[in-house]
Amino acid sequence: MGPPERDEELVRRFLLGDADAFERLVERHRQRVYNLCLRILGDPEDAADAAQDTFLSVLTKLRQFRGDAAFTTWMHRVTVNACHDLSRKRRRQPLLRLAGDQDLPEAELGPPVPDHAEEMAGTLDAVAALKAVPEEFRVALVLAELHDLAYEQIAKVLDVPIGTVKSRVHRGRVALARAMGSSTREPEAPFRASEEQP
Amino acid sequence: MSHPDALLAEYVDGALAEGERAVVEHHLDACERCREEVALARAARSALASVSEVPAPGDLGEAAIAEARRRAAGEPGAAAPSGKPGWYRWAGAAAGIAAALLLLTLVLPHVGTEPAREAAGGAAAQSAAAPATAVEAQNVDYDLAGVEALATSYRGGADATFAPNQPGTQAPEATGVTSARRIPFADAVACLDRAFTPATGSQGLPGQLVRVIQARFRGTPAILGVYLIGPGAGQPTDIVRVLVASSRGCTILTSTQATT
Repeated sequence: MGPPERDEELVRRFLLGDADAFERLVERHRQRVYNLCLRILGDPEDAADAAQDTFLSVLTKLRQFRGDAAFTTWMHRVTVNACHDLSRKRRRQPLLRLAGDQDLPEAELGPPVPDHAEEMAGTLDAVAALKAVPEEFRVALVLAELHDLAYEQIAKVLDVPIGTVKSRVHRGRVALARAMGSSTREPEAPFRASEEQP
Repeated sequence: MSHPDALLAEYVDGALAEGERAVVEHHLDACERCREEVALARAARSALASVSEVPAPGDLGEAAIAEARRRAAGEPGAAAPSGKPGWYRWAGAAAGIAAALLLLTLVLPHVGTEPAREAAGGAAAQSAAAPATAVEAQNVDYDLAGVEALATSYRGGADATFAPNQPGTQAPEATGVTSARRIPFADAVACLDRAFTPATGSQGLPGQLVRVIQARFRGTPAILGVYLIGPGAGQPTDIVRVLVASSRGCTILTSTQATT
């Protein structure tokens, strides 16, 4: 059995009409895409929606993939964009207008889908705290810490300078620890004042 | 005092070269804020190290794979550069031809030849499938097989009905769907349009919408739209397409089609 085909080879095969190659790409990246969406958006249903959008978007845009960046870098970019789009859509129209709002507190038909990640001991605090980190920092933090992307790669994914990525990761870490109520704190007042400095 | 945030990230990573590390440490000696932040950043790194991956839903990406197969099979218009699903353009053209033929047979009722009359009859039969006017709430968690079963249930007649609990669907514990808030019909249709109609050049979805169902798709609150599509030329409906959109964000969950 030979080595697994490179993503770029699968892309080439799909563009020549081999649908199996696209399926292989989806299977290979499904887990990574879903988890990236989950940690950026913080909600399993939104993550599934954004991941579905990601793969449809990949399919539509695959001809635009020039191969000048690694496929995984390009895929991360499409995923982050899908998350941004869903996030924006949620802000504009958080829920459909529903009749009989007084009947039930929840705007859903069924029970909420449990977030399995949050059921896992030891991860609750960090997972929950991630949601409190500003999105701009959270995306960089998740890519760096949970997806092990190098800062240079993140800069390509987000199309920002590498220094900006490092700053965002640092600010994200600090925001996360604060949201977790990290016990390293010292007196708060002078701390906040100094944060407002340039 | 300015703070070297970018260097602090790499300092916490332990990735700084000796010279830069000395610069940062010199800064830390004098900066309480940065000392604090370095401690917080280390705590955050340590906490994130315990976050593990979550299994992705098994059918994630199925809609894209199905679309890729349609394109690879060379279905009409499937490789549309705009990214529109192939059936979209094809069905739009077919609807136009059907409308033109119907108009012809209405305006010139006595001039039409026998085949033309048959064509008119076909079109009339097509329009006899009652358009949907309300949302049907179902306490059903559809899966892909369930959606396909819904589509194929229209085989043999446009007025076929679908029993939600037939094999291939999952009927979970009652979740009080009858008391759940109903999505107004117009909103449900708009949601389907928003999910499946490309942002530009939107003319609404092709075919006749004959059924709108509020249910779930693999646990996600969903709207299912059943569309009957004819080939045009006055022929009866021969395709049933079921589109499934998330009712929370009006994004595509899946779609399928069957011949009648």
